[in-house]
Amino acid sequence: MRVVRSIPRLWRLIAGVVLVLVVLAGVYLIFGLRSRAAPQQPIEFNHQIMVSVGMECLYCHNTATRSPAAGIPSVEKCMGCHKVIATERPQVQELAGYWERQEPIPWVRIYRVPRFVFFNHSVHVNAAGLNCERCHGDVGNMVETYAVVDMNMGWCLNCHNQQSNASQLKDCVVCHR
Amino acid sequence: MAREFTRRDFLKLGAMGAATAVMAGCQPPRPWITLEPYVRPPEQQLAGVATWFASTCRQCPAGCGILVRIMNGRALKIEGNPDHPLNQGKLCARGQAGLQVLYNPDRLTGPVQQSQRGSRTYEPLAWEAGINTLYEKLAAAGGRVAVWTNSTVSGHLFDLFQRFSAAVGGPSPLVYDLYTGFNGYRLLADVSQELFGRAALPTYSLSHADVILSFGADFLGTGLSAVRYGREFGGFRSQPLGKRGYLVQLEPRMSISAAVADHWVPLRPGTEGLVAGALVQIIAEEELASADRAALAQSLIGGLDVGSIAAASDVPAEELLHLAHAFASASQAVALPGAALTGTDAGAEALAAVQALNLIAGTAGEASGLTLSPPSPSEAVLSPEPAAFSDMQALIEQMRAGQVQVLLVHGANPAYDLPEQVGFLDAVANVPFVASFAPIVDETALWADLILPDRTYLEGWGYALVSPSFDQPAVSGQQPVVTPVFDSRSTADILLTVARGIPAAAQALPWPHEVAFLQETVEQLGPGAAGGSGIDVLWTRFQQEGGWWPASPPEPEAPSLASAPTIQLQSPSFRGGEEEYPYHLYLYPSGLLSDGRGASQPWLQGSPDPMTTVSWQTWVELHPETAEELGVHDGDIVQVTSPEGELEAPVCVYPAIRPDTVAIPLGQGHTDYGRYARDRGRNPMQLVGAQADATGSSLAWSTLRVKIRPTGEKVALALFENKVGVTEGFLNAEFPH
Amino acid sequence: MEQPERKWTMIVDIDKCTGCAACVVACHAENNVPIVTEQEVVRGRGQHWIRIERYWSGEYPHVKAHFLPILCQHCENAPCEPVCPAYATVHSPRENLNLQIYNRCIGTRYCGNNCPYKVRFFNYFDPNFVEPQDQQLNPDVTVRSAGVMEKCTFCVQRIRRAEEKALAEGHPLREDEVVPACVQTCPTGALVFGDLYNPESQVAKLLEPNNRKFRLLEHLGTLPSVYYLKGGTSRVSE
Repeated sequence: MRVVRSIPRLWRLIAGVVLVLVVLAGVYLIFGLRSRAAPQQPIEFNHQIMVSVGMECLYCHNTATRSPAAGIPSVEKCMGCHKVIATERPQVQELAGYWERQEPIPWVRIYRVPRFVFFNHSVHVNAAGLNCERCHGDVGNMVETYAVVDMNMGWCLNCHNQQSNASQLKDCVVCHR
Repeated sequence: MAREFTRRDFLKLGAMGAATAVMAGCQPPRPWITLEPYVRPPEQQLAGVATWFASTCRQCPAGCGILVRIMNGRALKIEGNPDHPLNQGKLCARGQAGLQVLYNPDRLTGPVQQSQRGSRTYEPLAWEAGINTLYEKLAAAGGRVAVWTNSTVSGHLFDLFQRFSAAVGGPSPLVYDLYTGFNGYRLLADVSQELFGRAALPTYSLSHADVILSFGADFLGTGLSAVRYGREFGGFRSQPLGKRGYLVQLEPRMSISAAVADHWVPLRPGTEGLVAGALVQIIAEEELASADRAALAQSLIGGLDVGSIAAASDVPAEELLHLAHAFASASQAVALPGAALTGTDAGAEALAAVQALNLIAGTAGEASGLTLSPPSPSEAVLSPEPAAFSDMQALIEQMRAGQVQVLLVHGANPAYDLPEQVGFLDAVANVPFVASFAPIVDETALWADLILPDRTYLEGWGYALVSPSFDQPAVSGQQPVVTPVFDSRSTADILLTVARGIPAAAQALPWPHEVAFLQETVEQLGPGAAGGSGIDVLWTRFQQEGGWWPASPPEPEAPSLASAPTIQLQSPSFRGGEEEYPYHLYLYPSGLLSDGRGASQPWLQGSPDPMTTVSWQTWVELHPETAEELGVHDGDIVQVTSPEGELEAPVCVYPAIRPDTVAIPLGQGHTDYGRYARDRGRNPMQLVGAQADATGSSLAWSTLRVKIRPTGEKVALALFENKVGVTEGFLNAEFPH
Repeated sequence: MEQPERKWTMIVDIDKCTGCAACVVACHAENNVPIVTEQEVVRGRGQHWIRIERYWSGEYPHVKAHFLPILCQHCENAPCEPVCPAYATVHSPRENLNLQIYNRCIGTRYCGNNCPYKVRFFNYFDPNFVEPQDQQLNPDVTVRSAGVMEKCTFCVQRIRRAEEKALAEGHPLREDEVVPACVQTCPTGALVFGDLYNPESQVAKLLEPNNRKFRLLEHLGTLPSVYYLKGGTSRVSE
């Protein structure tokens, strides 16, 4: 206190404000970073195992070439293999439980854009020729699925700006309706 | 500079610390939402891509084919089915609003019973209990069961009702609703029977016509098939070589059909038939057009005095001559009968006069002109024929006399539709048990003991024989496009269930469920344009295409005169003396609210009426001179009194109406039927009374005179066009109560 | 500025419009446009992206009514565009449409003020879609909150979906793949829509030199993309 009180009043005020701001910034940064941490999923789904046995993204997320949405596989699709494969594992047993109860699995969303943004997977996969890893990261090596990037407009524009038809791709209506 | 750590310092430090702690606790919101995939996805459904299902619109009796856009099991949009022969991809405002029938927040969430009728206290009960109650009552009633249904009931349910009634020895189901009653469907069919030997609705092909004389037919608004006539009109106005046809609309109040006409003739109400007769007379006398046509004309019309008709109708004799010439000299001329014509006390003769015009125009049965709606393509396919007014009265009499033990009401709302004098509510009091199948409590379900809500049309199975159908028979198919939104059950299934327990009926209704019955029906139809054979393929195609129609449309049949009556026309008689009741009353179904069934849909309530741009309200249309005489302006509430009843509603000054006529739209005045319909506007059927035309077919609603009295009260008209400007309206408007 | 690929154009044939209002309801259904209450209509806050204006002319008994469907004219020289402080109202270089970007809009309502056709509407309230009405909402169109302007977009969501589908499938967009809700439902065929830059399109053919076509308030120089075809009156010689 003696040290603090030796500093002139104005400086003390400024320092106090800066301290608060630094704390807040730290809070935001820490929590902001943590918000891209792998969220808790209802079943501990491991993409690495799937990919290591040779499964392609499009096997499960099979509308990525045909629809604006890439799609999440239905419980029936999972059971297609897991009726017989790895049935002793607890995660697969949890899956079987959902199937028995005919309940959808409430997967927690990893990537999310606001409701006024209308993203179209099929255009990016087919016409732009992008592969899934380009935006979603190396999902094939993720034990727990997490977001590799915060998909905000700036991030989208970074790529759109580099295209030959950038002026068209920066048209608002490409994403906003 | 040292000093004590004061209380002040402590508070400052504490506050800063607390603030930091609180703010540290505030994190950016974690975007945690779940993505639930299907458990078992419907076949061929792609995420993010809609699927379309074909079905049939049931917002009016026409039966247009629709395609419904479905995503994630939700119905998002209705469009016309481009392959459907009736509407060919187009759809009217009411058809578009069908989604709000499905997703109406005031729908019943399950079966209910009312221990006291009219109490609005609905006690939920289980389906088993409800169906059981219905079964017990029906079993005990034997043949004393009456069914009241409406013209949009699915053909298969109507068939089942009929079989049930016949099996237990009860009367045939009654099909009566305001839409068909007001538009004179029964009378139209009866006159067809008399003139052409077959009771069928007349259809008029307009797209190649030169001249159309419409005797009060609002064929573009709420006529027999608004969408199809809309298409026909589009063709009419864009014929080859720039020909755009000549349309004359004869009616006392300008409807949208008159608005697009080339000539509006504001004839006196009730004189439509007389004017048609006068034209026939003129064509006969002056031998306009070919000799055989003139001869036919002469045989059809008894000696009419054109001069007195001109006086009675307020259409100058020169005008009548001009119209006759135009009609007779056209190569393709059509005359359309309107609803008001069927609502007079001498509707049959008036109709016959209009049909006579069609016959002497010589286009009857050719590619353009008058044809009769083709009969059903199969015995298995039924169409609910609207009942005659007298038949409806007979049922009410039976009810009043205690001869009906159980009344089943499906899709109809007689407590709202019918004028009080018809006595429906009094009669219902003498019926021990009333069961309604209404999905949403309406004025009639209010007086039911048990309500077992049916599925709305987008959730249900069925078929509709397109009626009227223009160039070919067509059976429009209905299938559920979504899983039921609320806990409702198909009335047809309930009937089949109940019938199993009644020995007489069990044999007549052997099907396990309605789909089995429908499949049998489709099988009997055989292959149509979609081809295929065997029930599985036929059934699949029926659903996929949205119905059945023949592979090649048959040649249109010219209706030939079965009998050549001499049409005796008489001057209209009105209820209410001219002294006491100076004005004619002209009612019309709103193009949006229809006969009142559209009032539960906010898209229809909130869209501006095409001619007045008013929404949400009932209004009384007065000619500017009449308004000035009465000293009223827009929004002033007037009391309109007929010999049969009275109502109060705000004025809407209307330039295109006869000064001696007032017009009021149907559709409002509900006391139930959901939050959007309830407690707004007035039901002008209160003014009409219970008189039928001479043949007993039709309610005589266009033969009333009224008097008008300003009440001194005022509301703000909900005009979309703000005549006085927004700020003025906002500052001075009194909000409606 | 590079030439846009398309010129989406609508033609309204006044000779065929019957004022039936099918287009009005279809638009509400397609674009999640809320219905305002009776009180709000009285206040002049009726909200319909396409409306049928009805004009009277003449004196009884020779009075005539005329229907004029009015929607956003998608002006090439739009008065609403330069005045938006948030760049929420911009011209699409790709689609050649006047866009309304809801997430940028801050509700100054300057654009609505500037529009000579009065086709822009302000959401004074959050929409009140009472369950289960919210099930009907079109997922391709943003549901606007209070404080945001909105107007007809020529059903740009349908245009974009069709274009993206064509792009993903690797073929050029076919004219008949795109139709706004109002055009699709119009029973008389009074509304026609298409790409004016495509000489084979219906709109291009209908707009070939004729004495029926006109645009609204043309003297203001807004260069609308909506053309009207004059109605007529038939007469029969006596």
